[in-house]
Amino acid sequence: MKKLSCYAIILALAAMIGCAAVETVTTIATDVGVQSGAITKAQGESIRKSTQAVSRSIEDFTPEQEYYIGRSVGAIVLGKYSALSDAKVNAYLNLLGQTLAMASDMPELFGGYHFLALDLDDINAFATPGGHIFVTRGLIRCCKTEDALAAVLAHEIGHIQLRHGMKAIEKGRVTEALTILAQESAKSFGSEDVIKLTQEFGGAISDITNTMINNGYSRVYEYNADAASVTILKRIGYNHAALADMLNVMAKQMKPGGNDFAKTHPSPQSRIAELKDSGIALTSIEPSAVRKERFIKAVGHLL
Amino acid sequence: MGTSVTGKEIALAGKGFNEEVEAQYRKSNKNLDYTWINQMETMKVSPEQVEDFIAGGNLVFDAEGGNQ
Repeated sequence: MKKLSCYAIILALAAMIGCAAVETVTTIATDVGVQSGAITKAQGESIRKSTQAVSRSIEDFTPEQEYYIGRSVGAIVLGKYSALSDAKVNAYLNLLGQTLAMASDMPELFGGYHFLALDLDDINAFATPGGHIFVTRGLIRCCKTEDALAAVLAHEIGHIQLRHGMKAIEKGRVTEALTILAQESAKSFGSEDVIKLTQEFGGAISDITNTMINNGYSRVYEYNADAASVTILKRIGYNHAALADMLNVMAKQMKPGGNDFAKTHPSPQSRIAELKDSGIALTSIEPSAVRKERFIKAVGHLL
Repeated sequence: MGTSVTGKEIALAGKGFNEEVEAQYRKSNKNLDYTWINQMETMKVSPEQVEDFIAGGNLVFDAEGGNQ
């Protein structure tokens, strides 16, 4: 009984501590447990292995790995929706997007941020963990100003900086993939591992695209991305109320039960209500003339 | 999932999800087209262009004020 409770206490302790410290603390705790006779050596080893697996999380993926996951997620998005081959629109999206990324909490990514318009009337946008951001023509049409389009792109940057895509990967898969990768230090990597790793890679991509395209992120994630958008807009001097302006237009243009934002996002009204509940003032003002001019010049033909 | 893995792929895949793992994944998903992904990654914006864009739009980096 004493042995069992000691075993349980060590595992509970491991579960309560953050990922970085969990392995160290567990090693010390199991050593003490073995030396005092509370647990056997085999049990100590078993605990160490269990907590090693528990401690692996998305934080252990490197920016390079997120970039490669993002490329394949992006390829799937582009397999479903066509790119809009419009150099003027895409150049403007990239200029605007890079400016916003600079003001975000994650201005640097392994492969940088890249923006592309999709040739689709549905209202939608996607962001991969690798920094690839896609926005449909339908969503661009919901933006009446540069500030509003900035709000859309900043929302997608928010999903990346909050790592919502990576969090969509099933925990078991994260553990499995990182456990395979950890074998590198033991120099036991073989062709079977590459195949297993590729399977986990494919699984991770499916998890992300299923969430992003079919099921949508949780309401909380969407509200968090809106909050991140407001922060970015404020930092660069855009009118953050433009997010609400865009959501109001979206509410009018969205088809109830449609196969777009309506399916994967909380309603525009609830997003506006959430912003207000967070104490964010949403007073619309006339955008600056220079921003209005360059916005129309770049995307006016799509509106 | 393909089973043909070269020695180089093994060595490089040990470093994680990277170019070699993507290549292996693409072997099994031949319908996926990375042309536009590669193309969008060539769209570069220089720091000078960002500076001009900020100045030209009456924006101020780290403004925190918003409503301008």
